Amino acid sequence: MYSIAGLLRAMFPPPPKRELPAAINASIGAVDYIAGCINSSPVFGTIAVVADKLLAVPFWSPPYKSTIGRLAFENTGTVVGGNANIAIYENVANPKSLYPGALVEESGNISIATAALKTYTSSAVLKPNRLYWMVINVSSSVTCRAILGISVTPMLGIVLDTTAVNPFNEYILVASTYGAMPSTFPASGAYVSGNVNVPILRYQFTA
Amino acid sequence: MIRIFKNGVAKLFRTGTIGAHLHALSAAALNGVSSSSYLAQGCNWVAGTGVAAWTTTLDVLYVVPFVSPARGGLLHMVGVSTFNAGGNIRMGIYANKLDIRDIYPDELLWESPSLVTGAKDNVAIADIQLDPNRIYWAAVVTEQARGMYDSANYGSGHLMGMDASATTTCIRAYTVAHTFGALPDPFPASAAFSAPHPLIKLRYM
Repeated sequence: MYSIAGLLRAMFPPPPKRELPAAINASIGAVDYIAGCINSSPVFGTIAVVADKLLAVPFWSPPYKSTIGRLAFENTGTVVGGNANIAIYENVANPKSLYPGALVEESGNISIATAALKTYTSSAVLKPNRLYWMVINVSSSVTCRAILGISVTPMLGIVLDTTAVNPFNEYILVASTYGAMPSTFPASGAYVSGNVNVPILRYQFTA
Repeated sequence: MIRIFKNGVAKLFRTGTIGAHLHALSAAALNGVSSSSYLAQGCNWVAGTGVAAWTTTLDVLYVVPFVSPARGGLLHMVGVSTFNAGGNIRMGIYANKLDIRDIYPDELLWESPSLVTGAKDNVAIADIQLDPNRIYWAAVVTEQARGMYDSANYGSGHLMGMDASATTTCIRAYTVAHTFGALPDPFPASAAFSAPHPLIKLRYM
């Protein structure tokens, strides 16, 4: 005896789960993924991350409920007394709008006084198959490891009305005085377009 | 009502961006033009520079992941181009671990016979049915060090992430020591990260 819902499920089984490029890699060890990049052969460079601006790069969550184990970035430059704050934001509720929405988790102050791969232990839980954003803000402008614009997956599309050779929207930038991340990502963010370098904002799964 | 529900399901699962990129580029069946091959782990092709010459290490089994077509597919042929003669080559296809959170090869689904290498395409008929939207692994091992293509320059997908301790190196393949011969089943534990990886061509029917 089938219920109506059971009958409908039998008639229209859901498609198989998608296999997105994000897993915990239990058999091989923890690995990081790069926000905004599905290319494992990116060209590496650096970028001067400007102070008092939220810089947001999108990434896609796996097809299952997942837990972020750590967030990371690498500052190759140094600022005595300087700090960075990295965070995860959800996308806004309307999935047709690719724009950061509510804050999920932030690192708080991470010193950029020494050059190194900087990590933050996270416990953020991600919903499956959703767009999220990694965001960084720094108290003083600092050079960070980046991938060149040509290595970025153009999830944010391209500028329509231009004859530029590289009209790709690489990330979103909005002014925000350094400190705690706003609970809701500010409106009026603007695309940064062209073949510009994008900071490597890394995320790792534990489950 | 059924139509509404059906549409709702379709809409619910119509995810895009990264997943769609991988599915579209790494796993399509026959198209309306002619037979075509796809690259394991492939995502981009930058004109003229998408691949580079590279030399394998003998007795090392290389595996690279790929995503099967959204509706499944019959993987008809597997091929690897080599640049010079000598020794033999074997190719194989592994299933991923059952836990999809663990991106790692597991059961051997198919392996080619030993093929004498040369400056040629080494192609073998596979004819194995792949489940839809799953990660599989294409494998290759050579009896001697052999020149072949590596999709080193922007050409490979980011399925395997970045070594957590590395700053400028992404993972494009796993390797494990394996004396040339029949491929191991299941795939051994303790594989290592590898940046270079063979360009393995896949053709569906």
